[in-house]
Amino acid sequence: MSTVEAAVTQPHAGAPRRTGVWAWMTTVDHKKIGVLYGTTALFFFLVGGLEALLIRIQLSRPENDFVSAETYNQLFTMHGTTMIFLVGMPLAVAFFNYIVPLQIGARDVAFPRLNALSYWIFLIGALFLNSSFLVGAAPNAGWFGYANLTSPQYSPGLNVDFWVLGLQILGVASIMGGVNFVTTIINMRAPGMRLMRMPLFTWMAFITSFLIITALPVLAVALFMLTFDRFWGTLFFNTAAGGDVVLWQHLFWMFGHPEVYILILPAFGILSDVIPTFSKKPLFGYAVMVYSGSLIGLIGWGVWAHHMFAVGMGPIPDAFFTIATMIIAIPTGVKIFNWIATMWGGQIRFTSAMMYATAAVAVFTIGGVSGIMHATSPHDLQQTDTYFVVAHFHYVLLGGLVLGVFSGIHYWFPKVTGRMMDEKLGKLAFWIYLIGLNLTFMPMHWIGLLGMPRRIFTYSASLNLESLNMLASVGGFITGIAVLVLFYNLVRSLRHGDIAGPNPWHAPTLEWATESPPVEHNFNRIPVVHSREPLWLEAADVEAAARGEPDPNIHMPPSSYWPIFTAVGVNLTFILMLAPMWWAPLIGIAWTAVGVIQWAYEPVH
Amino acid sequence: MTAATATTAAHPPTSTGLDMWKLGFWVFLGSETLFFGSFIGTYMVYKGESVVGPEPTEILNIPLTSISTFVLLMSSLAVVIALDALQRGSRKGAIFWILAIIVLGLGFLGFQANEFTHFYHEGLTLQTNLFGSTFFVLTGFHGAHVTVGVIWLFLLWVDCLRGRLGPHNAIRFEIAGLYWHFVDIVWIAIFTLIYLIN
Amino acid sequence: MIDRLSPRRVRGVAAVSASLAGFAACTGGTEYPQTTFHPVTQYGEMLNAVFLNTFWWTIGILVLVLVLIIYVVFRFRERPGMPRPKQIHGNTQIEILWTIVPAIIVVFIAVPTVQTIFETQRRASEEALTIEVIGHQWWWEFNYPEQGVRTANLFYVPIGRQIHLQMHSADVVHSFWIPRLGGKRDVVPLARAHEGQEPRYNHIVFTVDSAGTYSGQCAEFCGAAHAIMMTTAVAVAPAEFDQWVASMQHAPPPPPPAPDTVAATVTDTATVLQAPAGQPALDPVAEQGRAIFLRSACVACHAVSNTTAQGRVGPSLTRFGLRPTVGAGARPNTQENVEAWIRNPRALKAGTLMPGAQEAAAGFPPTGLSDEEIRAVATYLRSLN
Repeated sequence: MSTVEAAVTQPHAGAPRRTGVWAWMTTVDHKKIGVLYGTTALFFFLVGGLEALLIRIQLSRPENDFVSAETYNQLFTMHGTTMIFLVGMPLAVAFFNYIVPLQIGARDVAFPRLNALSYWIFLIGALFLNSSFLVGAAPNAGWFGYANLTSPQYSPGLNVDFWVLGLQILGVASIMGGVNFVTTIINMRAPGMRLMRMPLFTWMAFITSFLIITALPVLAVALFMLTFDRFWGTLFFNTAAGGDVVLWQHLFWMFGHPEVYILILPAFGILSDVIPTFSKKPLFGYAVMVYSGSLIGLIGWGVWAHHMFAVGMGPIPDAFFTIATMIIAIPTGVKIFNWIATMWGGQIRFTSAMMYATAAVAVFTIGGVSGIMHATSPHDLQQTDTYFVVAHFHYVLLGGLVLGVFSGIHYWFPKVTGRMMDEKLGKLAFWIYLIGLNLTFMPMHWIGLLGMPRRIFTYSASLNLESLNMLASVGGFITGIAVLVLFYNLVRSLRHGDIAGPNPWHAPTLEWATESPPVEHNFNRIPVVHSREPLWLEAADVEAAARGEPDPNIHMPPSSYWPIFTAVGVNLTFILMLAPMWWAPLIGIAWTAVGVIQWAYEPVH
Repeated sequence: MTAATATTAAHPPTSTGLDMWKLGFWVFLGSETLFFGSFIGTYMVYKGESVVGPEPTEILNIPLTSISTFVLLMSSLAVVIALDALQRGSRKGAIFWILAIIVLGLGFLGFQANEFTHFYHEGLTLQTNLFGSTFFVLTGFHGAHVTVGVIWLFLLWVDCLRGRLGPHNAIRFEIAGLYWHFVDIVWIAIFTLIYLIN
Repeated sequence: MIDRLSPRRVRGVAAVSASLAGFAACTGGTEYPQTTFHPVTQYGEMLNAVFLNTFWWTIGILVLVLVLIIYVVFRFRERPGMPRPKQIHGNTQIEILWTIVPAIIVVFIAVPTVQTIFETQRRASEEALTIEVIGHQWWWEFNYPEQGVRTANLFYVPIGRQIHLQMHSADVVHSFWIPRLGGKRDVVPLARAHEGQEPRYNHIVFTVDSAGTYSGQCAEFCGAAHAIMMTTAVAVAPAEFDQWVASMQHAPPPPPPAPDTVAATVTDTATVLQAPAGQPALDPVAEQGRAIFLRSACVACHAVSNTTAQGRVGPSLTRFGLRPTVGAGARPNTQENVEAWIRNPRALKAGTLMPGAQEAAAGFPPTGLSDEEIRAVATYLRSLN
């Protein structure tokens, strides 16, 4: 964590200046919370990456016995669960937290304590989920937990209990975060910051937050139904009682498909901020980028059953979801062209951030193309549940999401820490990563269409897929090396990076008007904006407001320990369901109630 | 949930003019719509699919539940009157009408508890059949929401008694009222789809 | 310095050559037994045809995008002394163009796709051969209701006749996939159907054009041994199919035990169906094995046609000797492996529900068979070919 602390303005008497661990545990500052989310997510990125490498070692040879079938099933389940819920989503939220208030000219988010609550619920929930490894009962039924494999009859152990409870906890944190950001973006914009003047990153944060608040409740309901089946004998997915296992799939994918847009739209937002900055010209087609992002979010609610083409819904639903999925390729494709057009005619400066962003556009397109192949639903009956799908989503995720996030890290690191990352190390990591990712996942297109299904701990030598699998495994390790170089760069630059200054990239958006890192209250005076690129078109005024004479009336919300206290209660409510006494979760509910009530009556002025 | 609103000069005005908590709460209610919607959808999908009885037609008591629905509706009316009283500065009116909401809400919960107990004795539990599972989970979650509302309103009532709730911070009550109306609307949907349409 | 290499060009060239090389590789044939690129059914060919249509359109777009990016990277790199670029905000006409053109391409992709959806999901004809497929944790059951045949994991079909697989699961969701025959379908546990209501089966309908052996495996994660749930379809001329049906209904007495080789890599179907000429006397060990088998716990789960073993919990063992593997893909079907399986199945396939000689499983007590008894039973079962 950064040791560079901005001067804190605490205008009231009686609020003691807190430092150290306690300061972090009670912070309600969106910037600190962003750093907490980011650091935690990057830690779990290493955990998920380790799980991936163990998987690839096992699959590097057919009929291998590096890990047992049970261990493998836990590894692939936790790899997916970790990367999606403990890395992808928290990284997005880390960026939302740090950057969105700065981009809209606000001093914090709408509900700072709720913001902290989201983080602590997430952290404790993530630790709970991973504690399952300690008791040898990590979730083992896939990140998608299909009924009725997850029913008590077919998964009697603790593994799936950890999964349903852990995911439920994480979902609560996400929904609260979504509410926070929707409110923030609607209600806390600086004067003149009309919606159609907001940076694209904030727009994507906005759309993503809507997706979160609509999709996560559906998952919560599915998880509750499975939880009640497992703990209290309900019959939701009990086929003997008339339960329908396909209902689980519908509910899960009604969450699951918006979820993938929750993962990718923030990265799209990062690309839409980074590319104009380094091309030195505005984003091409701003309005269309907003509308296409919104359309993707909206149509994304209508394509879920393309994950279910093999389950036998019948030709009419199959056709509907086929067409809807192909339609969604259009706004997505438009974005690709707009990014290229932004670069066209520019004076492109290839910093690490820009290299990652450019590669993200290219690599995402490769993944997008295999997505359209999936949409060709008759042939999807060959592709689905094979390594072809694994290739597709890793290309869009490692290509779009991770390359986008890495771009964002290089781009905003100076703002967050006040120091520059090393460009040589940055470019080295970039090339290794690009080679690694292609080496790992390009062969998987073939591995899948040559007959290897997913989620198998080993495969027959007779399939003749050993060399392709070995290639993918080697690629995996190369990708891992790249990540380590990036992490080394991050850590080293914290202490040894060049001092950054407020706007090292000469970028156009409002966050670059503040100090690096920003003071606790972000802007000395809230700027008034008249354009989409305030630091290109009205820099003097905006910088004077941000860094000039401070407003005498700045009021920042005080720190509070009620969020972390309440987060413990929320976690206990679910975790204590594992306890033998039926009334144990009530302890969690009571704890949460105490936290919430104390919080409600805590003075905020 | 009910922190004091940003009405001091130190807080910049909101972009929409809407109170921050009120807006945030509306957004939260949006997510709750999907939450209840998914449970209601599941109920509808499983309607008629139970392998063993009791069936809804055998066991649901429409007349009795109509009364409890009416009670809950009246509690929403009480919310409107209470808010008006609070905003006008009528402390006595607010105290009376907030208490009325609580009493009516408790009445509704009483009807529910009675219904659940009766069903249990008639052989319908969470584990009996799909109807039991879907019915109890859906109405149980609804009842839990009502309970949370009652507790919330009780705390506000105490604040009102102590003179800490008035026109200047009526928004705190208004948001609780919003929550209460939402819970009532969900019940209207449940009552219609589960009790009436059979 | 890394910057001075032509990084984009290197990457571009590498990508293109890799694709071409890969594409050439993927036309490789049966050295990939589960390839999707060489279907033996019209059904499979139709899937590939619609895929190729999508493939060419999308690869075209991909190449266009990659070429544009590479071009832009070189052409618009910053150069010292250049002025700030023109601050263009958009171009409505171009944006309309690159919205409409992809939309048109989507139509070219969607229309054949939707046509294929409906064509490939037509109901089977009345003359189709119906085979009931039931997925179990972790083996495949095949019932031929018309022919009165029940078998497991390995099943026969006649070429040139429409086959209708009517499928469901006995426990969790599995997916039946033999790539060279066509696409996969999930097998779903049936909800208890109400009277007069058709249970929700899933269907695959196809006609096999060429004789051969086609392997596949479960493609929906179904628990501990999901990876070891193989299936093999043997497609033969109709006359041979009829012979197989007859042999499954009236299993011939076991011939002398074969030397210890893998019973059937089954590339040559003729060898498999060669009934031993003039039935020699039964091998005493196999005879012993049959007696032990029929009086042991085995018959609680397993069946062999024309014997008193009629258990339906586990896989049918009729003509077990034909099968390429024991345990639905756990090990090749050799004497040693079959003995090991009977002794301790979970050592060969973790999670499997069959009890061993010393170990209980799934509510069944250990079989208590001694090593000698196991040898005899294994000999008997392998002689069933």
